[in-house]
Amino acid sequence: MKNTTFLKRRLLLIGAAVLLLTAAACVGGPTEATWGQISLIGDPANILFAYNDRIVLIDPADGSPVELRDSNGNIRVDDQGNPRVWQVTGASNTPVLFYTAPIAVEDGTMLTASYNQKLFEVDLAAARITNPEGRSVPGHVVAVPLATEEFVYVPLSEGDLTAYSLPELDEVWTLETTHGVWSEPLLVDEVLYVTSLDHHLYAVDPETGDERWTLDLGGAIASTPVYSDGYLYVGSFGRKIFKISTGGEIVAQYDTNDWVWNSPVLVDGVLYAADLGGYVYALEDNGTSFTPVWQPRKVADRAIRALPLVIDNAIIVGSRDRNAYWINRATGEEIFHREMVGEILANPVLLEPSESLNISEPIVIVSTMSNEELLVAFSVGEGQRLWRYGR
Amino acid sequence: MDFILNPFVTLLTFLYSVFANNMLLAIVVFTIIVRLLTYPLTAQQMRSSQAMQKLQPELKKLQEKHKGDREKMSQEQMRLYREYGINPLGGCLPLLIQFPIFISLYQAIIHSLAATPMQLLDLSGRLLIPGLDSNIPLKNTMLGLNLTQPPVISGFDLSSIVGIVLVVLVVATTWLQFKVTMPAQPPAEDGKPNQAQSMTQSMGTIMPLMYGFFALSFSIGISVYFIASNIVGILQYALMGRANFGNIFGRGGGAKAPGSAVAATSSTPANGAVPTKIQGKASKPRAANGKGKPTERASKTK
Repeated sequence: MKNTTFLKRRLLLIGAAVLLLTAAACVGGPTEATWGQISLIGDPANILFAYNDRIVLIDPADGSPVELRDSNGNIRVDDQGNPRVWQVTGASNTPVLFYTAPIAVEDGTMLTASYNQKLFEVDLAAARITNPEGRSVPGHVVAVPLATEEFVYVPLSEGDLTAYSLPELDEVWTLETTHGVWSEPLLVDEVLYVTSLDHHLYAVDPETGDERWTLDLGGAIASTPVYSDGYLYVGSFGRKIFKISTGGEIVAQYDTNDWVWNSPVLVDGVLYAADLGGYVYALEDNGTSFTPVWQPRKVADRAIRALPLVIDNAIIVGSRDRNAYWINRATGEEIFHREMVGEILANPVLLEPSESLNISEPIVIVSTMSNEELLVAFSVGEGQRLWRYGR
Repeated sequence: MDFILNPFVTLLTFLYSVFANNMLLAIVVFTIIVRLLTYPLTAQQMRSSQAMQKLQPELKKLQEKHKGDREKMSQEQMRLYREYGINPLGGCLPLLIQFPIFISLYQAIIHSLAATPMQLLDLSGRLLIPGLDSNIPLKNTMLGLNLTQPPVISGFDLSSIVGIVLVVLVVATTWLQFKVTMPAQPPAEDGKPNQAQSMTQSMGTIMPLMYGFFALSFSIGISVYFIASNIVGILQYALMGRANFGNIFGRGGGAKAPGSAVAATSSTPANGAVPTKIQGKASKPRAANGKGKPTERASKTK
């Protein structure tokens, strides 16, 4: 009798464990949210926003989803007769995760790269993926690919940059790096510049992938170089900002307080940058050195990953501390800040006034990681909150 | 948790640079260091649980004696604990302190390997020693395996074989550690396994399988940590003279006293006799009145 009880208890325990394990196996790990990317598309422009598992088109006048229309301008409806909005999601058996917005490859077709190692073609008019299975790529995609007439260069976060032919998407060549490419490549004067987390800046032939030169910058690089007047500017996790000649020589460098994730912005000979320690920099390029226009200023409590947006008198930066800051360009002083619901990691976008868009003043679109405030539009001058888009 | 996690991430990154960018070695040494640092807590926990184990026969007698009178039963239990200088929570406290440490250790490995963009972003600001940034990102592939990914077992290629070996090692070392560190429990009077033994045996089967499942689901780096941690745990017990190797061959129950070192000092068999020296501090059973005079029962055990 006692033995039967023991046996039952044991079976119960084992059964419970098996059930728990099976449930855990079925649920799988949590899906990480992405910081997404905002871009502008069309004329008049709409906001194309790729985030998490979808791509949406948003009206910049009021933040409403754009309705999907047919060639006659009539609103399309779904099976239940409800009006359809412009939205692209992955097929149920092919999960997608977007860090980057789609890029135009030919009229009416866009190419989008999913973090889940797939390239998809998007029919812009029908708002649907035309190759639901996707074209597999040998790595995750965190940075936006670069498309030319002949090729699309896809940066892979695990190691390589691969060039595919267009429109066939056949692999043409691969640039091997040891730690992955987390930034969009830059094409200037028939040279493709590629930065890598393996600390190197690569200059390669865009047709063949042959290396012209490489330069070790002593720290991981996750941003695209900025090109101006024969020089490249780039920041690194080695806490430095570099000025590099197109021949592969370091011309000037400046020490930062923390890792520089995003690209600097060059305006009127001054380089504006931010780091993951929350510091903002304004550096005057003196040829072979940088001179701070004002002392580096700790603006935010947490990381600034997003690209600084430089406007007339101000620099707008978004931080992981959930604030968007307006900084005085001349002094570095904070003018004001606007608190938001989620962390700000994606690059903000500036929209100029437009009659066709019914926008009377410049607005800045800021994205957050919170579904409650995926996009927020602020007036550039006063920082007035104009609209928000959320789920 | 950052106050524990950040030093751990820094230490792991430092070890990575010291061991020529060998992440496997860095994780192993990192685990050993953390286990050594938490050794006083582990030892305290072991002593406490073994002392409690020794008191079980006495507690059982009390349970039988005061069946149905809970108040009297708990009073008598407390008296017994006081008598032998045992804190009934003495085993829990070190465990509670160790818990955030081991969670941080696990988190440090995940953060340092930085498999996803958010994890890499989170890594910034965690390195407390200037100059370690130059090691970022840490090289997360070894022997053709990506340490940030679970093992892919899809055939007979090298990575599949290494993956299988890892999972088997996780299961085997978890089982070994469980067996070796499990105090032997005397069977019931009728010679059959008692309820506690039965539960323990079930756990001894479930736990290794569960860790095997974790090894298949979690990143390979975490499996390396499991293996290293289990081996260090076994070695710690062995060095303390408390490893119960008889359990491996099913000879643990009643054959050898749990914590043979304790038994040796007290020269007391494990078959129900009460030890006179349970903890290092309590060399002499104290009287319930706290005045130092041994009780009759304690005196008898001498």
